[in-house]
Amino acid sequence: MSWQSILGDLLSYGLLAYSVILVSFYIFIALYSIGELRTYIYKNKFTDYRILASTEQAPGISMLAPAYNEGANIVENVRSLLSIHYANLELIIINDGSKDDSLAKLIEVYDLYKVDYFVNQQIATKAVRGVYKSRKAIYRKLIVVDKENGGKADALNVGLNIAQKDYLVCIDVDCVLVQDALLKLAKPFLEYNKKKVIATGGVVRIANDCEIKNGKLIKVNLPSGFLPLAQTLEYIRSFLLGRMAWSRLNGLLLISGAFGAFDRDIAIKAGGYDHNTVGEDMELVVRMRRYMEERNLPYVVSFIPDPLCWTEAPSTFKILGRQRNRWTRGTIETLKIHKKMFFNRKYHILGMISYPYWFFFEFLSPIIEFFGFIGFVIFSLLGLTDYKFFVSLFALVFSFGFLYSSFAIFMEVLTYNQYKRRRDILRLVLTAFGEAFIFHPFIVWSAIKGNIDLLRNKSAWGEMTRIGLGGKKKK
Amino acid sequence: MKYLAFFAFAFFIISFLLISYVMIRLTIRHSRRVKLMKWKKMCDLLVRTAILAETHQINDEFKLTPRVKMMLSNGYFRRLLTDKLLVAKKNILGHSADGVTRLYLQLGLEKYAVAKLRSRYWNLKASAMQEIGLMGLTIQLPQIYRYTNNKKELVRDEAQLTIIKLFGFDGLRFLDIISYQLTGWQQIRLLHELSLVESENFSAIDKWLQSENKSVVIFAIKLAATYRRFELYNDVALHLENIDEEIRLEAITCMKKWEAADAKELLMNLFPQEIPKNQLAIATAFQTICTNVDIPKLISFLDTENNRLKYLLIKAIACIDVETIKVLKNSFSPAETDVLMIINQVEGEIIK
Amino acid sequence: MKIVIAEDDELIRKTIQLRLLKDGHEVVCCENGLVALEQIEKIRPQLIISDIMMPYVTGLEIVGTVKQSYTPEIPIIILSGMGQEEIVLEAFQLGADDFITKPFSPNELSLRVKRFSQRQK
Repeated sequence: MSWQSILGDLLSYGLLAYSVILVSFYIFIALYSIGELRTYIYKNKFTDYRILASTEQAPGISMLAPAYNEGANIVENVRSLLSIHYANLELIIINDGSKDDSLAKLIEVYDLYKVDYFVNQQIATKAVRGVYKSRKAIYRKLIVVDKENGGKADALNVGLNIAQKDYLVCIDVDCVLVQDALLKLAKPFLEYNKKKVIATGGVVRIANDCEIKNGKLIKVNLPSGFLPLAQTLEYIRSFLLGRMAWSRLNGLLLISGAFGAFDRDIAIKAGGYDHNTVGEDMELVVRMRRYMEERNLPYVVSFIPDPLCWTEAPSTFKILGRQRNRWTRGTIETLKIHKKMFFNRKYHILGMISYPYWFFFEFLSPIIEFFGFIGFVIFSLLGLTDYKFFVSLFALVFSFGFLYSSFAIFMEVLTYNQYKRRRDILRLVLTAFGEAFIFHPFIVWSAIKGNIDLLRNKSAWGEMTRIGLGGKKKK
Repeated sequence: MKYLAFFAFAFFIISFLLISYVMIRLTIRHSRRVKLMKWKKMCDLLVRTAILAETHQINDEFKLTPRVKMMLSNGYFRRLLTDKLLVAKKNILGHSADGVTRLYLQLGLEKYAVAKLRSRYWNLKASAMQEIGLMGLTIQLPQIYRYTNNKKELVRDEAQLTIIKLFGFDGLRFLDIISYQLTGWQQIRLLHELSLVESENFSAIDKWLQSENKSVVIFAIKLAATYRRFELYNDVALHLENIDEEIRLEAITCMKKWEAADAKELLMNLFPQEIPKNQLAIATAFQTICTNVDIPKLISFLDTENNRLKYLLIKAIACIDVETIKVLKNSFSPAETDVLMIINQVEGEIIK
Repeated sequence: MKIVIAEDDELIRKTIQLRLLKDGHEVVCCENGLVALEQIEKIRPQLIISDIMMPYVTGLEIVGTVKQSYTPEIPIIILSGMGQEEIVLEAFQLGADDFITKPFSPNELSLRVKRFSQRQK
């Protein structure tokens, strides 16, 4: 046996084994999510959220919305956030040193004035320039904070310092929330007796081509462009199946930065958002969980599958690539910060399942795919490839990807059914088919680029830490 | 390798089946649309007749077309109609609501509710109880009462609510027996349901205050607070020193709602050793229960690292006497910017 | 009297509509807040009956908008759920004229509307 053939076998069987494990994991997730989703939907039917909208017993929520140069839409966006159904609410808009006229516009439209406000520096942040409130009674829930620019994590930390209510909801200011979004997100915090709910994740859906008027979602449409379409499918898969299953296991690691709720005390005790990572949303959840695990406190990270938050998805390869590059770096940084938990039994599910899953299937999978493909090309050029094998392996992976997407579409139609026309469903199916050839390779490539960027940056970082300076990275 | 191809093929077949199922389902839904609209109209018309009926004799029957009677055997139509009747009942009062109940009974829909109650699916049981409660039917009571301690959360939650809908405060006696914890959400729903019925001088809160079930104790304190049962002061005050911090917190909240000046001494004594979260609650309570004589004591509490607590204490002082704040401001050196800023903030809030 | 009803539940909307039609009023129904605002702008009703929790635009926003517009004299009756005192209070601060809690009796609603119509004569 020559070394080439040994290497070839290693490559093919290695890839095969990896694919089989991956496929089994996904089958498990898909099946495991069904029961949880069904229970949730049944329960939801019996829930009169209106009760929660008005009672003083409803958990208090501070909504944090960082804004940077959002002048074009900020007035409308704030108005839309203020019209959300929830009585025990304060809305904190954090102007992260915008260079445009965001603040001036807000002051004018909402009749704001600067108040004396003590900012409780529980987490160190950039300086706060001023806190504003409205003179008008209708806007009494609104607090606008003006601060020096320091990035999203820093802005959110200022929000954490200022927030007065027990729970925080962090959102992107340009997101469109469904009006009962907070009611649904708040309810899980009231549903457990023996365990503490430290966070609730919400679903983000793609708003491209949806009809939006005055910052409110009027009509849901399926996006027309291929990239938003592919992301729509991707979001359905990950939110409806993936996160539902993870929350059933109580192993959820990621709560979308665009829409999620946290227990304020725990978030502050865990140290708030880390501005050294670009994946501050994932990192915070992991750190909060770790905080609870290390103190042996029983806790839950809950998840709500209703489509509550709608956001515009990148529609060009350039912006999408940048986004995925950032996500990859965020994931790796988070995994690195918390590497102590890797297969560490002390952290239970978090250490034994969630973390390894993210390591092997979120972090490693683009790398394995990429090198598998390179290997395949090299072996083909050398004429060593067992084409039959690779074609079958590809067929297996491809058909499974297609099955998983079909199953997600199936669940979507049976549950929330946002896209009612048969034509829309067919378009989603076609997207599921075409995705593997265009969208997916691009995502893999962006992830690889993220890895490369991080490796390059890290060497620069290393030097800085050696001379004792905390390295800070810009977005 | 053969296996790989086989699996790939199998996956495709399953995908194809799933998609076909979805498409067929959507097609059926689409083709039924017209029929559904017609059904909905029929239901609406029926319910409206009941609401706007002029006569209100119990024995009056609504005139029903043979078509309606025939349609009742159709499960989908029946559900549609039942839902509409329930919505009407939920939102409408007086003669009109009686009309709705009469129509419900005349159509014999309660038979189906009973059948659902006996189903082995928990969601059907729960929905049956919701129906029975809203319609005010006093049927199957022993069964429903038993369900108040069912192991399925939704079943016991709905059973408890139904009992309250039917019997008001008397229904609360399920609190004597339940062994499962009431969630915060369920407590909110129960209180809401109670707010809809005539409040009477119900007894037994004192018994629930001694319950073995922690959530029942908490709920009992909430009841005492909401319905201003000051005669229970001693029983609630005992819980200020309970070993469970959540029970203590609820007792503090109750004192605050009562504006119970009697509890002042006790709260002030307990304050220093309380956990931070409860300290905040006590400081909030001070706003309403303290008077001028307590100001020196409150000022002494200001010696704390917790800025949030400082803010609440200063706010309490300001609520009692705004002038003190101005004096207080001068007592701190200009270097203590934190405290001064808090005082400024409180001043701004109070004067506004 | 010209009345605009804003209520998202079809059954309640229709009930109110039929009851008020019987009293001889002219009624325009809107299934959400957005349509309601458009209709109010267009037909300038003499009375608005509005639910609080509605899609797109809430009842509070309708009160706020109408009372701050050039037609603040249009009276508004708020329909609210039981136990929503906080919100009703807010509505009054914004200028709402009356409120009715759900569940409500259609006859009572009719009487309250009559009171407004008499006042306007």
